[in-house]
Amino acid sequence: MIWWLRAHAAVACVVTLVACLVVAPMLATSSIPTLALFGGTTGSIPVPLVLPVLPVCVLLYAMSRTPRTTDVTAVRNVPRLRAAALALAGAATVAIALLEAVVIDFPLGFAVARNVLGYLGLGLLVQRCAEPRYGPVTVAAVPVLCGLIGLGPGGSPYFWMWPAHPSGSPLAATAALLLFGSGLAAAATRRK
Amino acid sequence: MRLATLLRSGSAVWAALLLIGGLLFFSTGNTGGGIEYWESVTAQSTGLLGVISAVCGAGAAWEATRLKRGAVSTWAPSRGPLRIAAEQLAPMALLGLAGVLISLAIFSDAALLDIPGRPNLTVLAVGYSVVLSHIALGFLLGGVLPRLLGPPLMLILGYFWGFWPAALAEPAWLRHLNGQGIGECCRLDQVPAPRSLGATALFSATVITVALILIAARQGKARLVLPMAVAVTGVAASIAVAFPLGLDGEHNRDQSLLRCSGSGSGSAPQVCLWPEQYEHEDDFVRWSKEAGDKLRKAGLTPVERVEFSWRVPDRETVLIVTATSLLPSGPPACALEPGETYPGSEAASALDAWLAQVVGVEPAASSGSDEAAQLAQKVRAMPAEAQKAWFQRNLRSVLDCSQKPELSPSSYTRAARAGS
Repeated sequence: MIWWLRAHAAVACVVTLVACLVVAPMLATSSIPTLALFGGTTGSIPVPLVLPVLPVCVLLYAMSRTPRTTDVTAVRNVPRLRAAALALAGAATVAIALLEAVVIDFPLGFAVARNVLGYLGLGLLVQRCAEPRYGPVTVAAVPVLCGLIGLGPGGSPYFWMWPAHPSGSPLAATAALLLFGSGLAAAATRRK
Repeated sequence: MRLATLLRSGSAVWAALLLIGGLLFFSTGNTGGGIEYWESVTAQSTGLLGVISAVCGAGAAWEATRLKRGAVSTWAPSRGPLRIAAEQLAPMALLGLAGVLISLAIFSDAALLDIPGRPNLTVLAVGYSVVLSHIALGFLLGGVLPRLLGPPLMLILGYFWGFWPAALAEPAWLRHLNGQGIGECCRLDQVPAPRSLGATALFSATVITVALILIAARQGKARLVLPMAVAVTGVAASIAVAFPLGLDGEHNRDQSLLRCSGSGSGSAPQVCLWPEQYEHEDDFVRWSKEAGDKLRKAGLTPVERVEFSWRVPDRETVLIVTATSLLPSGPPACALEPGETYPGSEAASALDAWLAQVVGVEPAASSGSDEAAQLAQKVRAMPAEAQKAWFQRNLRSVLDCSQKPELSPSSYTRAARAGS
């Protein structure tokens, strides 16, 4: 077990996840402004919605540290175990974020947890369909893309830019859960 | 290396498709209502630097991870590390240049081509130096961090660094280090502040120099001491240059470019125009003369000299600006102290509306507030002497915090009737 944890950089994962969930309430009112086109209004994305990219990238990196060829001859179903570990990480994030939202009154807490799940799902899907090294870069590109093209007139996000939606948006929650579910399914199956 | 191999094996082509595609998508939302002034357009185009430098930095990190994965340095390369880095990063640098130029094109209007002047090359060069600094830093970090983490970290770092400082009220000087200090520029009477550009250029140069030293120096004390010294000096110098600016990134434009018409005294207010406005000089002068004449008929003295901030004049706006230039542009110093009340603020909007109606603007268009417009209309129904008395009385309360305004027209008509 210890070897597995060391091989998969578990400490780094836990540290970045906790750091993200601790820093997010501190930056609750900060937002990154996006560009104001002439005659248009400035939009902005709250910083806590962009922060989840960092722990997700570290999680994706950690789970890809071991070469896939060793999974083929493994006795246990390693992809399923990896998917279970990711599901556990997701559940822990949701629990801590719920706690934060209730105890410290951090309304964006749900959105932070939703974004962790959504980014993770997206990254896992990309890692399955393309090479593992494209996963973290794609995840990091999502908020950048959000800032560039995802905010519509009035500064509010388009319906398809789910990371920028505030807490409680059903569309964004569905999108994130769908992505997470399919990402876990993708991680749990072997590439043929 | 063959050009085809360089492009095929690198990330520049893919990054180009994504970046340029994204920029073009972004440009479709441009409603094109900006000031047609080359300085303004060039300064506004630096707004996209955050995205361009984030993508280029991530691409540079990607190249570095490729070189690390290929363990190029262990194969006894015949070319030095700087040469290899330069070759692998050249497509990324070209992409950055293309991004800066496309961003300029997005913020430009077709009407700009008729206007004298050209894009401010200093601003473009400083913007490009920011992109180059991200490329240099990305190459450095990509070689140090794990393979999967370098590019995403550069993307997020570039995104935060590119956009967040401009939103922070303090430290105010931070926005002058990443090229976003001139994002609020420029009205027709402003140019980008050279200090802001200098601070950005200095900061970017520091980052690039440190990265070059760390790439080139493989062993020895040079690896640690020299880069640290350069970094500390450079950052301190750029902060020192940026600090006095505060939140402003604008500098006054050269006043000798202003062309003032009319003799000033005894006739219409002297209209001073910038080169971009010369084309419509006749309209500006004619309408402000009309406003000046109507003000004189109402017994008021128009202001000596008036400037406008639009390139293409519109009769109503010129009338309103000429008329309301009689009032101060902001609250007096006594109103800006914390805890002070300024009773003159409601008088100011009523006076604005009345002045606009005096020079012939429709009551509906004379003010943003319906109340002020209606009050002004009532005042316009009074005899001329009463109107002038109303104006003078309330002007005192606009200029002085201790005077309360007396806006109701009935008290002036009563006084007029009592006096006659």
